[in-house]
Amino acid sequence: MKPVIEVKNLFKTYNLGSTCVDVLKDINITINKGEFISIMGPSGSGKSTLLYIIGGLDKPTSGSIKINGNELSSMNDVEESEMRRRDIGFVFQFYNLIPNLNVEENILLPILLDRKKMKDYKEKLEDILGIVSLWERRHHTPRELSGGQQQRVAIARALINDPEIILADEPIGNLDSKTGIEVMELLRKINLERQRTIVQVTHSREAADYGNRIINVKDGRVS
Amino acid sequence: MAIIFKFMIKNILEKKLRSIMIIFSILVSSALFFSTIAISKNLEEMYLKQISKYFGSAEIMISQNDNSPSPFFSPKGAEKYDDSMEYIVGALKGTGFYKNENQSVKLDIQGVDLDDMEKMNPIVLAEKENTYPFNGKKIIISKKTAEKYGLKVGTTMELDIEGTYNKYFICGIAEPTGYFLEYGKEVCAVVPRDSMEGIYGIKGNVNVLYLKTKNIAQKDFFLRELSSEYSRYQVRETLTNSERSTFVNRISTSFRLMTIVVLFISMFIIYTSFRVISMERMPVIGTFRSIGATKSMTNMVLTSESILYGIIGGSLGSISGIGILKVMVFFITPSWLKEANQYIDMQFNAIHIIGGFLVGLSMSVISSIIPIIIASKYPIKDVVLNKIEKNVSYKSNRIWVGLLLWVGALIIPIFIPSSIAIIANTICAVMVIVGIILIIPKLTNMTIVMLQELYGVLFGNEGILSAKNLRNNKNMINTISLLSIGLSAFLMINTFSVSLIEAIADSFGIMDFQIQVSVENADRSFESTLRSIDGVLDTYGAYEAYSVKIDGKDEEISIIYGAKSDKFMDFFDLDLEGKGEEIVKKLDQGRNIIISSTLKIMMDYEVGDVITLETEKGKENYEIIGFFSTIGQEAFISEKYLKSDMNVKFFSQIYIKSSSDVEGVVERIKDKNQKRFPEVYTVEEMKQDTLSSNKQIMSAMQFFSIIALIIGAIGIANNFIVSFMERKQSFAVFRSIGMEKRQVLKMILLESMSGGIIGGVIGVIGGISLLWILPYIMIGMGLPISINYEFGMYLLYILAGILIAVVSSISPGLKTSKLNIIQAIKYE
Repeated sequence: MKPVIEVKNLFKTYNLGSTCVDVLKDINITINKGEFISIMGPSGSGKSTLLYIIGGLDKPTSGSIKINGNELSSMNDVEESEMRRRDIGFVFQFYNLIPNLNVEENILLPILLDRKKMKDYKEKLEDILGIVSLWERRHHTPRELSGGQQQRVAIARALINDPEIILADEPIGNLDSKTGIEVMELLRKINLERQRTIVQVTHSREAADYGNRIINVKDGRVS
Repeated sequence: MAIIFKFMIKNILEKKLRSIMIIFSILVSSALFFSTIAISKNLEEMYLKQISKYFGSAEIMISQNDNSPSPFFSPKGAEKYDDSMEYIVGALKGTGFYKNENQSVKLDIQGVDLDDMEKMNPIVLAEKENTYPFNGKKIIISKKTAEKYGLKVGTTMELDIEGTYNKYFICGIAEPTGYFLEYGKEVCAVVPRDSMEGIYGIKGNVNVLYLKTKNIAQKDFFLRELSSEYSRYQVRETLTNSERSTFVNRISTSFRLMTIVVLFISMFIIYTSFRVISMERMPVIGTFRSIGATKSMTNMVLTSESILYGIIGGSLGSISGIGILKVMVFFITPSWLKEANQYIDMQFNAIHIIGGFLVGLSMSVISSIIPIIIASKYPIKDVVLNKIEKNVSYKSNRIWVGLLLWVGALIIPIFIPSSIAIIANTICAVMVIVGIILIIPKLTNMTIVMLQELYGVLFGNEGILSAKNLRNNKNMINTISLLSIGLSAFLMINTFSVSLIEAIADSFGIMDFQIQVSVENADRSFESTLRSIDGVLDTYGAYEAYSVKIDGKDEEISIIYGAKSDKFMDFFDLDLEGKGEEIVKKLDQGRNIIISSTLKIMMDYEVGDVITLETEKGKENYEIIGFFSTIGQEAFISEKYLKSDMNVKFFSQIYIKSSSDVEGVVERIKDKNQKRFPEVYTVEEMKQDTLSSNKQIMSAMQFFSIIALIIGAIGIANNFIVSFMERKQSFAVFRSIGMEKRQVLKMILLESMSGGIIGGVIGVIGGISLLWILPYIMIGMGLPISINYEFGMYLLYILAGILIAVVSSISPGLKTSKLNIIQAIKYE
């Protein structure tokens, strides 16, 4: 299997005034293409920080992260942003949609940022809207949608550029259990049918069970 | 209560920049309000200083007119009212000439008792020697005259007064105040009354009498009594209230208008800031409410904050207002007063200071009250759970109300009578501003739809995104509103200044000659002597009548010129719509009159209307046969009727067409007529004098408009900071899904540029709307002018709007592009 994420000797330390807090200590992980990984751990264990560092949203104190074989630390802002647009799709606990853009526009954001033409993605958009079952709601703004629908928009946005990897931070943390199951089923479908690599951070055992591998993080270490 | 107060103080200190901005807005508004209400008093002082030099504190003046049997009259007729008068001062005025080297200097001489002068118009002596007893051949001259001709106290000067040569002992040199406040080339002197009696060969009589009543309420009564007592002399008020208020209103109304604009901008800044403040305080208010605080208690937290801002801003504003008043007084003081070191003492009182403070305080409370009321209406559960919707939706009827106000404000002035023009049209100007604010949200959204496509082509996808981000973006809408109002005010004042200056310059354009000469008793023989001077191409002896009342109207015609039909068209370039010759010929055919456009607009006259003039001969009807463009209240009638109806015997002026060497001709006229002491001015000189005094007042108004723009710019910068703070999470999302730092910056700059474009365009349209209303306000002030719309310049205003918006967004934009994505994304 081809590794898509390789984390080696990763350390992350936060300086909080006069004290230093080691959030991640010597993390070594390899995630292969098509895997569905669940990172679990108690609050403050460092699991979300690990996810953000993998996605290039935060910098490690030391260590190496390779996405599709490319070293993250050697990338500048333009290369890193390009990687986030093309290789990674993010799904957040609080959906993080742009409130003044409608469903279609929110989904097409990575395309716009990639300087591509929206009209070239018409078919793909329709396809994805079908997958997340939001065709009827495509002209609505986020505040007109339920939590589950908003999270499905976030997932659709993560898919539009056909990224290799989807990183999800507590994707059902803000949803009721029924909606949570719907979202997890959707992620599983994407993993199985589209062969996307999914890495989710979760508190929920049920959600974690949707993955085919669980990584436990405790006190900044993989246990 | 102490805890709530502590909470409030902490809030204010926590957001220092915003607090400073709110306080600054209140400060500037209070200061401008203070200086605007105080300026009327200062203008009155200035007017009195200029005008009262001739009569001091006297209320009634009696002098000869054309019906008088003799220039001299006995003061006895007035002295019977001595008990009711504070003083009755008789004087003998005359003209004297002083020969200095090769130059003859004309002096306005007043023969008066010094004690009388002390009561009426005190003289401040800088130097004196044997001043008292003030009799015989003594003279007091001004410091300016003494310095100019090297005259010293204790020496003598030889004068020709009314044809009698005498040596006068200089017993005093006066400071430039009161009678000795000399305007331009004017030279004044005071000699003992007995000395003038000797020259005129009269005893006890005077040629001018000044009176001041003990009770001003009886002034009208005595005016009537004295008019019948001196029926063949002119008995008039020295200074009418309408003359005084016209002078004061002409200047102070413009300042008032600008202050309204500044107050509006400030109220808008405070209102928008308090919307943010009340939203920010929601979680804490929820906590207070959940532990038992009542709605009024939590409202008080916010209200006290606005009161505190009002107290600080209002107090500082009243103090700063004194500085602004000083600057304004300096600007509006005529240069000839400044040259005489006669600066106006600033006039303000406790009422002005308290007024400025109260405006600051009430503005802060009024502007914040709506956001506070809105905040208090949220259900306690939503407040506690912080489930308040932060986005503001704009009601669809806003645009219609706004449009109605805007269009209404443009139509109403057409139908407003000039008697209420100032107040009614000022309200219309305010309606335009309110209309703009109401229209902007919808207009912005509509413009964005158009911009989106264009931006896509010009700036790529970041352009499209920036346009989409502006939709219903309340901070950007506030920014656009501030920019529009500021630019509207700035454009209005600048265009108005240019238009006024051009109108003044144009008013000299009707004079198709280069030199104007006046001497006493100028007649045809004097005109012939002028014609013989080398370089004089042609002359026009002009009969003129001044301040002619229109029967049944409050207004009067300042100057009526006598038109000679044979030469009129050569000397006056009136725009008579191609019918010049025909109309001028018609002047001679009867009592016909051509009036200025100013009078036409003010009185709503049409060709064919008949106006009744109160002439020396009695009331005479004149038919209007045409109009000419000028900002003065002027008219032309036939020379024949001017001479007979107005009883004018001599030329008031002689106009001269000169060869190209105008200055040389002026010198030769002075040289050849030394004995007659002519006053010779070039038209260009007169034009420049008038322009420079008006430019000073315009500078003061521009100073106001710049303040409006500065406050607007500060508000804009604050809005960008607040906007980017509130959208931090959105920017973090953009970054998380692959937006580059430079893309973020590009998007932000494009957003602010769009705000600048929309604000600039609406500002220009708003400014043009205000300019449409302004002439109607000016009609109320008796100064109708037409506005020169400089469409080419408007592009510069739009560019200025873009520049202000883009520059204000650079710093918050750079900060935003470098934000910590994780912190911002988790911010909720």
